[in-house]
Amino acid sequence: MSPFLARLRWAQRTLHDLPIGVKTFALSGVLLVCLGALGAHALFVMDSLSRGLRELTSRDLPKQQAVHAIKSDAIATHVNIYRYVAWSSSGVNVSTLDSLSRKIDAYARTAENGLAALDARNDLSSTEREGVRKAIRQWRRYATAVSDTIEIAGSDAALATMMLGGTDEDYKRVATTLDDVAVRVSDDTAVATDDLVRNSARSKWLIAGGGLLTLLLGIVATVLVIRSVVKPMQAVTRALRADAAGHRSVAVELCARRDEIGQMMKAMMKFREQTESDNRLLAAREQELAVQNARFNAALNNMSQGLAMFDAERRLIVCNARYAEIYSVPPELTRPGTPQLEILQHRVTSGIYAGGEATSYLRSRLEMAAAQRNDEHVIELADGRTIQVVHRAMPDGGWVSTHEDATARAKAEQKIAHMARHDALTGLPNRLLFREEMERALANAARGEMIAVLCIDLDRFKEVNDTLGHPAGDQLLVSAAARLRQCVRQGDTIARLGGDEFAVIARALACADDVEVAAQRILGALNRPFNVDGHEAIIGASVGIAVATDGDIAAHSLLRNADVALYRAKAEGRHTFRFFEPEMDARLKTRHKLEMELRRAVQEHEFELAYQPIMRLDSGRVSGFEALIRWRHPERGLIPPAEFIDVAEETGLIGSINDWVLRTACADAATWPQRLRLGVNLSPSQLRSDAFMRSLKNALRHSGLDPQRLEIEITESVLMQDNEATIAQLHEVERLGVRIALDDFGTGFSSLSYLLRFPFDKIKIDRTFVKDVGSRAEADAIIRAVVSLARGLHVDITAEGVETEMQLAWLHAERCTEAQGFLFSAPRPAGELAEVLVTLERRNRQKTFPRLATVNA
Amino acid sequence: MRIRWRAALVLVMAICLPASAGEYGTRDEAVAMVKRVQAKFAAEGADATFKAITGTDEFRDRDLYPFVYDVDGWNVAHGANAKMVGKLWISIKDQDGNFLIQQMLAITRGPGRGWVDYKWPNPITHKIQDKSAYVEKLGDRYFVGVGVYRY
Repeated sequence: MSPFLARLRWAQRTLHDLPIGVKTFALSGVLLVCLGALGAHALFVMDSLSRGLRELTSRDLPKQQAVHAIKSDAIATHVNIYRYVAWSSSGVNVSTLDSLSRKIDAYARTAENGLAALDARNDLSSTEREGVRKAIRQWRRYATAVSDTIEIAGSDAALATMMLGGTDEDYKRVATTLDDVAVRVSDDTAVATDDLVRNSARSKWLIAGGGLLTLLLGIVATVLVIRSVVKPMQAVTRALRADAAGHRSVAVELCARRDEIGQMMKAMMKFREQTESDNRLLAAREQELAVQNARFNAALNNMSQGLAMFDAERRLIVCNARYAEIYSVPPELTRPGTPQLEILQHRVTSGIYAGGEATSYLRSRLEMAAAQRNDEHVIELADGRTIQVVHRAMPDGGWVSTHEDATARAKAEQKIAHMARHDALTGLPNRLLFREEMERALANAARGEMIAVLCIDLDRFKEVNDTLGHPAGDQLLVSAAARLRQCVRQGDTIARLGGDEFAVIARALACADDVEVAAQRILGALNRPFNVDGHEAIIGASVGIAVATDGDIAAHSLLRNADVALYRAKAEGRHTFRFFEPEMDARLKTRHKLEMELRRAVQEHEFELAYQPIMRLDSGRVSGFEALIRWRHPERGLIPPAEFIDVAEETGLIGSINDWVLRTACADAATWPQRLRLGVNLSPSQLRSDAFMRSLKNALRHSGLDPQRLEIEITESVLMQDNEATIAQLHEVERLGVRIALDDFGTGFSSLSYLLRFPFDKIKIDRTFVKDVGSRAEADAIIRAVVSLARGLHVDITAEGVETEMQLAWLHAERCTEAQGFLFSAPRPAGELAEVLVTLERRNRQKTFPRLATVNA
Repeated sequence: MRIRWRAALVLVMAICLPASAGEYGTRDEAVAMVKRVQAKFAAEGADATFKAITGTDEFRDRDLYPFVYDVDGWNVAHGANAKMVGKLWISIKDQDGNFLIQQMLAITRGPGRGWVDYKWPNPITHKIQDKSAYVEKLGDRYFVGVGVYRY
C-alpha cells in the first residue's frame, strides 16, 4: 500500500471515529460559512452595482449636461458678439446695442459660472480637471476679447470688426477644449458602465457556483448524517430488540465505535451486566431469606416466651407454639388471619382468664392495641399462673406481644419485696418499712393526730448473746418480738431496727399519758423472765419516747429524738422509759462536739503528759512516776482525762490515744534513772483489743525501756468483764515482764475475789478512802484491811491522793508501801521531773521521815 | 465721443492750416514723430510720454498719431483712440490675415526699427485703409510706431 493510500485510510478511520456531534457541527459549520459567503458576496455585488449606477446618474451624466450647457452658452456669446459688431457698424441705435451688450455679458457670465461649477465638482478625473482648467483660462481670454471688442465697437466699428478675427481665434480654442472635455466625460461614463456590466456578469457566475457548491455540501451532509446517525441507530434498535428477545447478539462492532453510538452501546452493555448481576444477587438473597425464615421459625417455636404478632387490622400474623400452649389456644385459632377478638374470647370462654369482668378485659386489650401504646403488664390466669405480657406497637399499626410464664418469678419477687422490708428473724418490719410507716403516720399527725415513736432496747441482750451464744440471742429476740406484738394496739407499727433495738409507732393517741401506758406495758412485758434455751433470763428493757403532735418534724428527727431519750433512759439506770426533752438533745450535741474536737486533737497532737511521783514510804525515795494524760484544748485550755476518756472509749479513739501515751511515756521514762518505774493507766476497752499488745510491744522496743520498769494500771471494771480472754491478755502482758497494778481499788463493784483471778503486782487504794483517813473509822478500817490483804498476797500497795502530812503519817504507820498525791507533788511536765526528784528526796530525808519515824516510834 | 472727435477735427485743421503743409502726413513726418516720442520718452519718462500721446494733441498731426505697445502686445498709449489703451492686441489681424502687432513685435525685437504694411481704420475717414507704420523699440519694454495711410 502506498503511503498516500495509508494516510487516506487513516483519515477515513479518524473521520469515522469522530463523535457524531462533532461531525454534524463541522458540516453545518461549513454549510453556514458557504451560505454566509454567498450572501455576503451577493450583497457586495448589489451594493457595487447600485453604487455604480448612482455614480452614473449623479456624476457622469450631470457632467456631460454641464459641458453641453457651457458649450451652448459659449456659442450664444460668440454669435451675439458678431451680431453686435455688425449692428454697431451699421448704425443701430444705442439702446438696442446696449441690450445686446447685456445679453452677451449674461451668456458670457453663465458660461464662466458653468465652468467654475464644473471645476468645483470633486468627482472630476485628473484629465477632465486639466481640460476644465484649460477651458477656464481660454474662456477668460475670450471673454476679455469679447468685452474689448464691444468697448471698441462703440467708438470704432471698423477696428471692432478687425478685432472679431482675434476673438474668433480665442473662441475656437475654447470650443476645442470644451469638446475635448465633453469627450473625456462621456468616455468616463462609458468605462463606468462597462465595469458595471462586467462586474455583474462575473458575480452572476460566482453566485451560481457558490449556490451549487452549497447544495452539494448539503447533500453530502445529509448523506453523512444518515450514514452516521440513522443507520447506527437502526442497528442499535435491531440489536436491542434481539437482546430483548433473548439473543445475546449485540454487534461487537457497535460497541467498538468510538462515537456516541459506541458509548451508548457500552452503557447499555454495562446496564445489562448490572441487571444480570442484580438478578443473580436477588436470587441469592431469596435463598438466604428462605434459610433465615426456616431458622426464624425454629427460633420462634423454640423460645421459652410465647410470641404473637398482629397486624393493624388486629388479625394474627404469626404466633409460636409456646403462645398457644400458655393460653391453650386451639390450632384452628393459631392460623394467620385469625382476629384477635376470637382468641381473646376463647380465652374467656374456656375459663383461662381469671381477672375481673371479661368484657372489660377484652375492651382494655382492644383499646391498647388501637392506641398504639407500648405496655408491660401481668395477667393472672385461672390456674394461678402469672403471665408477664410485653406489648410493643409496630410502625405499621400492628403490634407484637411476648408472653412469659412469670409465676415462679412473681413469687420470688414478692418474697424479695417482703424481705426488703421485713426482718428475716422476727418477721417484723425492718428499718426501711418503719421509716415509710413513720412518714405515713407523720402525714396523719399533720392532720392533728398525735403520734409517738418508742425506741426499745433490751438491757441485757448482749450478755445473753455473749454467754449463751448467738442462737440463744436469736431465740430471745423472737420471743421479745412476740411479746411486743401483744403489747401494741391495732394500727400501731412495731419494727426491729437492728440488733436488740426495736421501735413502735403509736398512733391516734388521745394524750401523752396514753404513751406512758404503752411504755409501761412494754416494759412490763419485757421485764418478765425469758426462757432461753432452758435458762431463765431476766433481760429488762429501756424505752425512749418521742411524741409528735403535728407534722412539722421529719421522720428521721423524730426517730433520733426517741433514740436520745432511750440513751437517757439507759444512762439513768435502765429498766425505765424517758420522754425526749430538748435539753437532752443539747447534751447530745455537746458530746458530739467533744467527739469532733477529740478527733482533731488526736490528729493535731493536742495531748500532753504530766507525771506524778510515787513515794516509797520506807525509804523516803521516789519509786517512780504515774503518767497522766492532759488535753491542751486550743480554746478551753487543759482538759482533765475524766472529761474526755469516756467519749474516746465510745468512739474508739482511745486506741490511738493510748498508743501515743504508751510511746511518749516509755520514751520519757527511758531517760530516767534506772530505779524509777513508770505507771500508765489503761482503759478497760483497750485491754481486749489486739492493737494494744502491738502498741505496747512497739513502745517498749522503740524506747528501749526495761519492761520491768513499766507498770500498767487497770481498773476493777476490767475484771468485771470477767472473761477468759481478758485474763489471757493480762497474762500475756505479764509475760513481757511488765508489772500490772489494780487501780482505783474499792470504788467499783469490786469483790475481793477479783484479786484471786489474777496475780497483780500492786494495788492502788482509791483517793476517796485516803481522803477520810484518820477522820472516819470506816475508812481507816478499810485501808487497814486492804493493806493487810496486800501484805498477805505479797503485793505492793499505793495510797492515792495523799494531801496532808497527817494522812502520810497515818499511812506510813499502817505500813502502806507507797503513796502519791499533792503532798509530794502535783503532776508535772517531763522536763521538770529531775528538779522534782531532787527536791522530794532531799526534803524527805531531812524532814518528813524523821518525823514519821517519831510517829512510828 | 463724437463731440470729442469733432473737437479733434477742428483742432487738426487749425494746426494744419498754419503749417501750410500737405493734406496727409508723409513717411518722413511719421519717422520724425517717432523720434519726437523717443526724445520725450528719454527726457520725461514713460508715464509723461504715454499721457502726452493719449491725452494731448502734442503728437497729433493730421492723420499722423503715435501708438505704443509693450512687448506682450498690450497697448499702453494711443494717439487716435484712447479706448485702445490697456487692452491686449497681440491677436489682432487685418482683413488680409496679417497679425500686425505680432509683425511689429518681430521687427522691434529683431532689427529694432522698420516699416510694417497692414490695413487699419483711418480716424479721419473712419474707413479701413492701407497703412504703413514705422515702428521703433522704445526703452526696454515697449515699441512706438507712427503710420501713414495710403490713399
